[in-house]
Amino acid sequence: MSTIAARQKMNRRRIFDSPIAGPLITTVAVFSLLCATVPHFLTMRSLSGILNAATLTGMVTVGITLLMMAGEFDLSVGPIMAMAAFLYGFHSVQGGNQLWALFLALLIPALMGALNGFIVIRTGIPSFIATLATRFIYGGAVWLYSAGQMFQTIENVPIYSVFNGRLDLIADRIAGANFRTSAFWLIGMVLLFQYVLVRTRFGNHVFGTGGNPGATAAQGVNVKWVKFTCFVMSGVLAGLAGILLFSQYKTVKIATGSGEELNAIAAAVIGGTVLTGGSGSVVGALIGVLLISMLRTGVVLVNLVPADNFGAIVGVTIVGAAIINNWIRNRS
Amino acid sequence: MKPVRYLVLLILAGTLALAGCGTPAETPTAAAPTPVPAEPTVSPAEPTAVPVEPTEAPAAEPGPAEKPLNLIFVQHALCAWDSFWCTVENGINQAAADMKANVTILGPDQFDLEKVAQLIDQAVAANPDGIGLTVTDPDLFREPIQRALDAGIPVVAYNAGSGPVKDNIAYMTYLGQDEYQGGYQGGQRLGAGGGTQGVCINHQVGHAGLDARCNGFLDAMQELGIPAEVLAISNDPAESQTIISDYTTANPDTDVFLTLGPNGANPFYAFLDAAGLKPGDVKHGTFDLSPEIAARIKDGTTLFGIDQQPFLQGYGAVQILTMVKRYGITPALPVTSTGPGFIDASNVDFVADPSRALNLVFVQHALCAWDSFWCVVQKGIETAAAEMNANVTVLGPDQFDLEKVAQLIDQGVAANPDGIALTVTDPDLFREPIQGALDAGIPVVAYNAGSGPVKDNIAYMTYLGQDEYAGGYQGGQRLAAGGGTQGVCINHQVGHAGLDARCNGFLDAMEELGIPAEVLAISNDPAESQTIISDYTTANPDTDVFLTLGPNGANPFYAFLDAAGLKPGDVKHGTFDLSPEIIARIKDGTTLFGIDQQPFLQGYGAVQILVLKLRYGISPAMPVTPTGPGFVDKGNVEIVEKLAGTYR
Repeated sequence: MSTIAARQKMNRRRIFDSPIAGPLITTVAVFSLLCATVPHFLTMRSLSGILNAATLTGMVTVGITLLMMAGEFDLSVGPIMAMAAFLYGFHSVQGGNQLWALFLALLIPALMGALNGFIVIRTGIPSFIATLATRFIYGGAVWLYSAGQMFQTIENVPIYSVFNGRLDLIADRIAGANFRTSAFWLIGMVLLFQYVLVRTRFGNHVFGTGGNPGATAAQGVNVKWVKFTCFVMSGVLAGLAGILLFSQYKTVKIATGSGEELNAIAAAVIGGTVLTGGSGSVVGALIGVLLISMLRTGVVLVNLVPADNFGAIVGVTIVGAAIINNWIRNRS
Repeated sequence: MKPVRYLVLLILAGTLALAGCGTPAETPTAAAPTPVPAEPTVSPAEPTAVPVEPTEAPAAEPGPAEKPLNLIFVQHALCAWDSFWCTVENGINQAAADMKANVTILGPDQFDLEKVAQLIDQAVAANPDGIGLTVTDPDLFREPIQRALDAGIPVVAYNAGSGPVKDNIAYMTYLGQDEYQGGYQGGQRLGAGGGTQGVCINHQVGHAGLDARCNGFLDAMQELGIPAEVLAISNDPAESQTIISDYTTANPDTDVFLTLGPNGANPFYAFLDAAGLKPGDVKHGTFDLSPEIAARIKDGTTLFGIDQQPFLQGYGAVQILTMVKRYGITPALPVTSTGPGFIDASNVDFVADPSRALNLVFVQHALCAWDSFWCVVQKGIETAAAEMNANVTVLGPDQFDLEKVAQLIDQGVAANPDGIALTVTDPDLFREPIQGALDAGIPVVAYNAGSGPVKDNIAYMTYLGQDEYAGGYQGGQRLAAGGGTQGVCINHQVGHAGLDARCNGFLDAMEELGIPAEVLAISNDPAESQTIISDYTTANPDTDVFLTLGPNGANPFYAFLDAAGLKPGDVKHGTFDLSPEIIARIKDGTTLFGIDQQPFLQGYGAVQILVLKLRYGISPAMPVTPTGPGFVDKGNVEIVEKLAGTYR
């Protein structure tokens, strides 16, 4: 049986064998718990807030998940996101060419991701270290490009609403609903990359590269090329996140995106992706960010702990989710 | 690896593309925000000297500094019949000359407060650019002053008054001596080398100002662990001398004495002579000066006389009005202290020299060349240097490098300038170089960075910068002035000492007004932050007073407002700092104010303090001289926006 067919057969097995089984169960459980115990949780306003809070991190997490499945890390997504937002901002205001702004804001991040991949592949340095270094280098580049200044505009550029505008269709009909177009972009990317992962040969190669690089290379797959592409995709998705950020908030500063890399890794792990690579799911990544976002909303709504101790809750969730995911994985 | 080689070329091409297209030079003007004080850079090595050479005829300055101003001052006394006021009027006239303002001084022919009220009305009718006055009787003057405020004329009080809050009249600030502070600082100075027991000799118990002086003294003594109390004497010097003598018989350990003016100092000196006490046997300080007191300072009996510095009252009043009209810069606090000014052996013989040529050296930890925040500070320095005819040289490193700055301080001292101003970015690192300046007798003032001579443990004159706590406190007062149900301080960086101080001030103000309030921590991610704010208001629907600490908090807050469909006026919002978005929201009424640390005033004020010290012997009154909070609201947002990046 060809590997694609084998994978398709695997997807038809019982729910427990799916890589998102663990995260899905956890999320449904947490959601039910929050609905039952937290006042105002089940309102349109809170639910749309949960989705919105997850969009920027979620976009970055999709790329990080892909890369983690190929067995690599990218800690430089924060500055990449900031660079994209600056590029997009500088070039889209005051009658700038929108396509050019979009192109630049995706091209440069792609190149930054490519550089990451190049360094890792050429030098053999572990990606954790290499991207830790590029994180600082790219941070310096952002500093130089932005001249150290925050950039902000109050202009209403029409295309911004396409990327991250208010969904008036729904928002005007349902009280409190604050759904935004960025959710479409996120869900679209999730579906696209999930499809690529499970239904294309490239996706297959990604699994193999992360899970068993030696065997995969022996089968004739260009493992280095696969990793390189994943680095580029991680950069592009971070760039898209920067575009979404600027489209709504119209503000970018040097610190934009800092911390996103760890949020993304946390969400990916919670979503069922294994740190060592070879197993995981992009849909799981979405579930991971939604779970974290749900918890945050629940905490604030209940005033359970001071909201600034939210990080502790995320930490507990990571450990708990990792344990559950591991247990379920071992059962299949 | 052929594909990889092609990619290398692609990367190189991309880097060139990045360098070629889209440089910050194309940045549209919509992006001229006021950055939050930002420091570190990556740049190469040496110090830069930026000589600021003001011309003899400062007329070359374009823009706001040129706009002539007509000011009217109304006093309850005149130099013509009360010589104290000659010093005040000297200050007024000197400032008018320095800052190119026309000042008319009005006053009654004798002490007559009804007449003064009428003169205030006359002043308002003349429609000047600004009014300075003595708020000798707040109740009597409230109406005429309100008429001035209603007509849009800025008003500042000097010499008499208690501040806009206590007087319940909305003028900008009161310039005068802080009586409590005088006693407090006096007590600190007296108790500095140690002491066993202290006494505050009050010759008019019940006089609010004198009582405040003793209260300050007692608090300082208590902090130092020295028991102290108030001794009331009378109008009769013989009685008073005996009262003091009997007191020291009953309390033989008393070795720290504070008198509140010549009326107390005089019988005290008589007591000293009668008891055969020599200079140094006990420690004595007094308020005010007199020939006797000056003589005793010189011979060492008395450590200091405290002067309310009337020159500064007149000078400062003119300066505040010109700052407001020309640059939209407002005074930071409701009470701007001109005193206590301490006169001791080092300056008791000082003779004023208004035309003394001055060379000043400024050392900063950053420069306009690579951090645009400092361009506004630079503008302040240059404007003051031009107005006051001083030579100022600004030194700074080419990148954020505190060791380098310490070296520059040494260089600055070696040049033997008349005065030095510097950013006390690292008090421990800078202590030695600054001490070198102080040992050489060069007056030193700190601006933009530092915590004051007491907290930094370095004896420079004063620190000029924003008072974070006061900003939050006054912000909270302004926001809840018309009432409020629940407040929240949105902190985007909990743990940052300055931001935490802002929230603390806000919480205290809310507590005083009886409004429950707390701190809400948000994150770096605007989407997350917006949802956190939204969830918080869902859980706390009565929240109607919001304070954000900068553009990083204001931005997601505005996104939340828009998403929730809230209109200007639905909730009350104030923020720190300014940005194009915040300025737009101030104009449309969503945001009541932005709080600016007023970097222009940091540079300007540093020059001014040194000039006043060197030419007129006037010392800054307080260890910390706030330049902020400066409130930018609908009233002055237009002028601030116009001057953003240069004067603001």
